[in-house]
Amino acid sequence: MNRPILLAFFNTLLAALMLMPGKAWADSVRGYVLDASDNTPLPFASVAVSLDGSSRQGTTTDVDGFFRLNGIPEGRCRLSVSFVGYVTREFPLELTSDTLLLLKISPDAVKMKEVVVTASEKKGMTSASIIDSEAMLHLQPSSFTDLLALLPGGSTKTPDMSAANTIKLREVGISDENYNTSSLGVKFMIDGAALNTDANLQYLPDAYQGDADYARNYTSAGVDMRTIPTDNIESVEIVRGIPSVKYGDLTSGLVKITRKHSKTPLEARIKADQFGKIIALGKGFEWEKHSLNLNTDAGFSNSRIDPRDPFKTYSRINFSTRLRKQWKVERKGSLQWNANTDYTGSIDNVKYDPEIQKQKDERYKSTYHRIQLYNSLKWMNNENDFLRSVGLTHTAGLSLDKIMQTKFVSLDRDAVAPVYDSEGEFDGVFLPYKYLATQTVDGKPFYSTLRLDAEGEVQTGPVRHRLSAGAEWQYSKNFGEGLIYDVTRPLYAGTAHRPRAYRDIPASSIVSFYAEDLMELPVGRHKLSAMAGIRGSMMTGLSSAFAMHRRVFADPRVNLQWDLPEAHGLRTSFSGGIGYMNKMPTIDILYPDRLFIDLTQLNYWHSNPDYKRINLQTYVIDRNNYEVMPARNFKWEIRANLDYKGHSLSVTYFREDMTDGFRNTTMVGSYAYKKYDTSGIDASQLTGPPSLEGLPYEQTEVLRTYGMTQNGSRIYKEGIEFQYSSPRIPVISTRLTVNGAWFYDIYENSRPQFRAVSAVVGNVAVSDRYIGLYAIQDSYIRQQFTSNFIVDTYIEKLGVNLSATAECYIAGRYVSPATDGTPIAYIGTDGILHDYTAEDAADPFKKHLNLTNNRKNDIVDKKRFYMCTNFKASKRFGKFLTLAFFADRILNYAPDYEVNGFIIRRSFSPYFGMELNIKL
Amino acid sequence: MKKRILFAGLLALALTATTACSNENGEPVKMSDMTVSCNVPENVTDATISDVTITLKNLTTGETKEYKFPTMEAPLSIQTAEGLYNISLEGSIKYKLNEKDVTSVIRGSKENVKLVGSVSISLDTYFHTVKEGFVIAEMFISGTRTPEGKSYTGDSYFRIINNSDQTLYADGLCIFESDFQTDMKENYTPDIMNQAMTVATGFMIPGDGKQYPVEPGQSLLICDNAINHKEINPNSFDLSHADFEWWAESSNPDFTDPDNPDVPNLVPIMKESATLWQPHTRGVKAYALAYLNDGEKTITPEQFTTDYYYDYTWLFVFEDFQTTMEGSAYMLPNSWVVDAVNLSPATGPQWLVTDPSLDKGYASVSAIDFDENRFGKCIRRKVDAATRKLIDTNDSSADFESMAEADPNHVF
Repeated sequence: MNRPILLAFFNTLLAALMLMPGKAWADSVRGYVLDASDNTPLPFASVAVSLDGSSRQGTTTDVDGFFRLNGIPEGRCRLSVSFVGYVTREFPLELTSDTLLLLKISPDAVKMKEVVVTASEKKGMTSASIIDSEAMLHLQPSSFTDLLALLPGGSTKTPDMSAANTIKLREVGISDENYNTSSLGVKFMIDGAALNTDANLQYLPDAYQGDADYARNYTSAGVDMRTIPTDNIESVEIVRGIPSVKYGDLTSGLVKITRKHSKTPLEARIKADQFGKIIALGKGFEWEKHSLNLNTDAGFSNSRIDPRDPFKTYSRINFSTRLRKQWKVERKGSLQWNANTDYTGSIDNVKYDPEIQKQKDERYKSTYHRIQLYNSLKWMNNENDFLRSVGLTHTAGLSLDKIMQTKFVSLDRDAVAPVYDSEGEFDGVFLPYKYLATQTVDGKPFYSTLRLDAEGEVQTGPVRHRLSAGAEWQYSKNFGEGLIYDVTRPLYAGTAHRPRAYRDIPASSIVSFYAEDLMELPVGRHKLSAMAGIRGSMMTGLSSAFAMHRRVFADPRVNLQWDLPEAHGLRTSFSGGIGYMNKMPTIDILYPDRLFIDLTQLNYWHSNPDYKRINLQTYVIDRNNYEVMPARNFKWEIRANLDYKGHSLSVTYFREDMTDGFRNTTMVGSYAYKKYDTSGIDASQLTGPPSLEGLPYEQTEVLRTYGMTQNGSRIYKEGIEFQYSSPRIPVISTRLTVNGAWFYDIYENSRPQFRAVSAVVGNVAVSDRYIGLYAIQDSYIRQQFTSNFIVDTYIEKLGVNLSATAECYIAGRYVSPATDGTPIAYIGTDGILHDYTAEDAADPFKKHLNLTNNRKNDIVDKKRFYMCTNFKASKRFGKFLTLAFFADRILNYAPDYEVNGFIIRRSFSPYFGMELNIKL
Repeated sequence: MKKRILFAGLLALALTATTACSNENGEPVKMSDMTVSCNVPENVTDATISDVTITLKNLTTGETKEYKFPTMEAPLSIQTAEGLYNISLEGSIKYKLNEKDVTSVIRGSKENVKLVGSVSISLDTYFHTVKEGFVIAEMFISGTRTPEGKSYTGDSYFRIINNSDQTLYADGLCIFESDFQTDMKENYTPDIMNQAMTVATGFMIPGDGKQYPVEPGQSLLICDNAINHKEINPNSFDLSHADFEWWAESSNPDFTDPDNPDVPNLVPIMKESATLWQPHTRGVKAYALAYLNDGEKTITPEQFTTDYYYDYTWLFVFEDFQTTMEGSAYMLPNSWVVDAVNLSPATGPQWLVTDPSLDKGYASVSAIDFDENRFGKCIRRKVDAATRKLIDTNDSSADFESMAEADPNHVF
């Protein structure tokens, strides 16, 4: 669907909303569906009313377990309530026009045995995976990262605690920071509070590959999943498709984590594997009389990056308390207050074996301490009118982050201390050849989100509308001291960065609002549902220099579902969605630090160090990209769901295209400086450094490059995801689950890129004079097809739960397309873009702009089939104890094969561990 | 491929030897009519030879005569007294190298040739560089470690020795580094290795031709930074007495290059890296001493960088994928090369990046790839115990001592 049609659709929709009558149907049935065992509300339970034995109307409960059925004549009827894992129950009722019902259903003892140890596909309008606590118990994860193995297309990975774990949804993935928008665009919500990372500025600006900070930097890359423990999680919903417009500031998907909010026994978990251990404790209290719940938990984990090396570790500590209080107002409704307090701390520690390392002071430490307070008040209206609920939510989070690196710097040659912080001509100060350098990055990102949500309900003819609207103000600011170091002893000699205080950087403020209509239309025995909404977002407080200043960015999104009537036990539904999603730039992207470009005007060496002199012309570069726009993803998908006697199959085809992902782009400028001629200086006659006065010089210009973030990366995702699960076969109590995905991804630059060549002709570096502009600089096309087969057996009598997973990598194809090294244009010291002509191609300097190492044809890397198997087992001992064990990649099938004369051998290292769960 | 060019056909010479000449005794001197042809060096195509000088040395009388010919296209015929001769030829050869014209000097000779009557002589020629005799005696490129265990570079050096018996001038002598690496086999087209070495970086010794004489057995020390490195790193060397240093002019203070005013700089020809030139510290490239052209009718570095840049393609094969890659580099005609050394870790040579006629073996600065023990290690040419000359058999495996302790002042 193209954009004008979509907009026209929304205009019509909004007009329809405004014209709708405010009056609801008078004769309605309202109520809650509760779990009979603990009186917790059951969301998404089906409620159907039948009169004279024939089903007439049905609905599902909302997240609070509430339902409402309109247009039911007073009198006798039967209400049938069903929910997965519960015994379907019928309630014969005598209805009056103003009935509020509490319908309790009990867990199905047989069905509850059907412990689901995998992710299940959510039966909703958009594609989403649900992972519950049972699945997590069985998986025995170390952090949230491990849960992703359960998604279609996922596979088990050994935890890597030596690097930030960023999320990849629906893609093969690529480790290139220019495609970080993929993970930045996944929003994490924990109990309704977003885990905002927009003010994250924790990185060492000059770190390069191999440095401890390089892999641990996740600035503008979203959430580091290492920091999310799994122990207190009740369930996780990962929306891979098009999320509701209630959720904004995202491009790829949504991770909704719901933690435990109910009475639980004291639970303890102790896990150990070859990398580390986890200890977690949690308990849920309930004071039923006061409608009060309190859950509290704590966890600690410590892992080694390499089991043999005790000096490189990652530790996490977390506490959480969650309070829920409800006040019921007779007949009118209820008010719910949720108050959560969370603390998560993590420490990356990199030291070196003192027996090997000569420099005992060298170390790297990155700490993260986040405190978050969450408060929400929600009024749920039970009265018979339009408004259903109003909620006000506030989240405030403060993180105290610190990176400290100490390094012994040893220089090969003269280097200049970065002591100047303005433009001009300076005499450089030489650094000593050896010194101990310390650099600190002090970040105090503060996040505040205020949300107002309202939900209403209205019936227009046969169509039932659930309307929601809301507004959100998201404020992010870093109050840290920022990058701190002694400029006379920099960590990286020759750095172009200077100390800067993060608290001087402006805040980021995003105001957004949304309106959504969830429509249900029964057509005979069919049901049509549509969720259509629009979200508008704007960054406020931006200077008028920004193109985004006062601009509203719209996210229109539509999901549709068609439920066919049940026939011979077969339930079928089709759904599809289409929408836009915008992710605003982070503070790091909006306000990059200034860059210092130094040009050597004179570098006079003398055997007497006191007579040496270096003179510089310094330029200060403002790297702000005032043209930056939000990254925008366009996504559509279609889906089919089939259910037949406990067999369940779901297949999704999707396509996503984001052409303006954030990218660090090379910019080019021409800079003037004096080139002093020292050939006339007689070294033996000097009594001090040579004087510049009277020294002949040539006024000249050179090109220099620097990085700036632009909307220049394209991430294209296409694929098919599928999930099948069988019913549990009665005699052997075993279930089969098959899931998998085919992904096809393109990662490439969407705008031409400058690239400086390294060639030097004579004494002239070509890039000092000419820099080429190239249509395509990098392009990666990746495909893979993977599938997992999971067999799990649950024998209640023995308290044993066993599963075997065969993770099959069926095929893969990585293509690096042919490259053309010819520039489309070039820039000279005049700062002007010129066409690159045949004449230029023959020029002794400009011919080097034709890049070398071009691929004349595509590199096709065909990945072959392999299979790894994972085994997991848990056994309950008595009432209190469960012991679980896992062994991943213990049996593998990856035959060697020969191509191009190479024998390819693939090996997998097993990963195993065990844990103890105690419930008191 | 050897292409034979025969310039002289069968000369129909009516031999009337008595007609013109007579010896001192009045007896007629018997004259020999000789035709001279030559075989151009191996791997040369489309050659034309000009400025030919043929020298005949009569071994009986000791008389030496020179005959000059503008070209060798026409048959060269010389009439001389019969006798026993040493015959030598020198000429300028112009040939095609990857469709470009290259000129060089060829020489050829035959000793103890009996010239009686009508004789046809065919000479095998070889390329000649004027100052053949310079050899790489010691090469140190892998850097050192500081006492704190940190890497240190900037102290690379080449020692070049005049291995001949006459004084040679180093003016115009160049050091080149190969473009290809010995640890990465590249099937590249056009494969010009039998005619040229593909190079990426080169520097030249300055001078007007007679500025830098080197006595037989004497050496030149050419280094990166001609400073006393021991002041920065006690594990390094004092190179402040070096004869030349390579120096990069850069406006970027991240790449300061100390320029010792007392040590002349090499003339930069070209580099593949915009920053400082550090020879590959893993020791996986080849190095050559050469002249641009023959050293006398020399071409300038500017002409070299303009005219000797060529495009090649190579097949990149890694595991199960492969593609044709395009590259560009400079071709250094083998005929200009004085000495060449292939370097490779002892365990892992994959291919020679020079023609075997220049070097058919490898010397090593490390035992294995990424060897932590390579710091401070050099390659050093062996000395022939009998002649006290450096051994140069164009086989670096045999000619060099690998992984020797580097010492810029080593006495050979």
